[in-house]
Amino acid sequence: MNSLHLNGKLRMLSKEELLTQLMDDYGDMVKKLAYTYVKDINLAEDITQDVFINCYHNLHVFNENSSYKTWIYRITVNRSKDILKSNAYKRVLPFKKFNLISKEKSPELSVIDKSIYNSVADSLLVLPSKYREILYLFYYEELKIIEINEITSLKEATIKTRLSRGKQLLKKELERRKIEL
Amino acid sequence: MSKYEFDNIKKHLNKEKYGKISFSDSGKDRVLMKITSSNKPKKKKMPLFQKLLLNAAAVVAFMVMGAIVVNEVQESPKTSVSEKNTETIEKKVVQEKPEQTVHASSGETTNDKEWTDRTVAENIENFDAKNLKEWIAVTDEMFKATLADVHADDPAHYYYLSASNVNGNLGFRYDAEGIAIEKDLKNLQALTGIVEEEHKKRYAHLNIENENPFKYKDQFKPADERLFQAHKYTADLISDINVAINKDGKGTNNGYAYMLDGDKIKELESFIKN
Repeated sequence: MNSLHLNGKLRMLSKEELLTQLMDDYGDMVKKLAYTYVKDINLAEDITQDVFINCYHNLHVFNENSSYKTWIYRITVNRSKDILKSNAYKRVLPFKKFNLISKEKSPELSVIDKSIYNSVADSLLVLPSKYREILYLFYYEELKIIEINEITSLKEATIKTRLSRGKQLLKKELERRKIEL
Repeated sequence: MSKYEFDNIKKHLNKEKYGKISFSDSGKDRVLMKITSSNKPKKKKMPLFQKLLLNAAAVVAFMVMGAIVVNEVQESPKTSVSEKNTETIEKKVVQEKPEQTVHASSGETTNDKEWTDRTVAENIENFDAKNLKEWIAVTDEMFKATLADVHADDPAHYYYLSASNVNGNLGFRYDAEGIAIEKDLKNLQALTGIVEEEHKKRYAHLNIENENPFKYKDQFKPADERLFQAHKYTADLISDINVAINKDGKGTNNGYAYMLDGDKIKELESFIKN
């Protein structure tokens, strides 16, 4: 079903029904995108709730030429970036970083950690967020450059540059971890 | 480079992590609950003229009542009336005077009911209540709202969601400083904690880890009576706090709040301790 057709169908629902439908259709996607930014599943769940509350309160300003999907993506990206900038997040971050890069582990723990550590997901998540977001939207969500432009408000040339640079960085990271795709 | 063309990246991400990420049903419920509580119609503002008229009527009524009282006093025998009046006035003063605590060390006096809002501004999001007063009012409405059809088959689950909403906000977003209010909020936190604890007991036997328990709701044990009682106390206490801080103490006193000198606080605290 194309998004305009879907938009037309959704317009016929009440505000609450529409929200429920949007949560069912895009809830997982919003949480995954938020997780890609904040790397914390509980925080991603909170962001997802905020995003849909925000959607509900702003349904009247939704531009019908756009699709709900792109609109919700944009809200998610903005909310996630706000959280990343917030003081509360920065206060927690140092401990998380410490956990991720801690090298003083017993040999047994290292073996266990290796399977978790050597994953494509973790390789992606250690990249700087400006590359991570583009790679995720392009490869995981399979969005076109023009759609990413609509969501992130970045110029197409910038997106292409970040995509190319991000690919190089991810490739290096995968090689370093000896992972083959 | 061929092995890093990233065509399979989605498959890998799904297999390792992303395939397991989903927006929980309880999260969706919370969103619906939040929008329901923010949807209550706001009271219409009274036109200025109507306000002035109402105030004038009130002033006239007070003056008439005052005149009647003065007239009666003058007509009755002086001594007995003046004694009676003094008695009544003294009683009134005692009743209206809030309890005071004397600090033994400094000799300063403090009003038990005085309180300061300690809302944590940096944790307040766009659509959250802006301070404790607003939050208590919204929460009171939420607890008084009729149970939605979607929760009719398992009210205890809805009570759990409401309790975790209160518990998650209390301290993290909304807090207060003051002798009576702190005791009330502490009791509120304990009660919502009981609801959460009792709800978790319902699926403890399923040993669920890293999954949304709600998926297995058909295997939940029935909720214990303690959960329902804790919910009832929670609702009544929130209502009392709301009366105390938003309605100047005017309204139904269920008897559970220090802020209203409740007469059932002992009963409530004994429930919490047991």
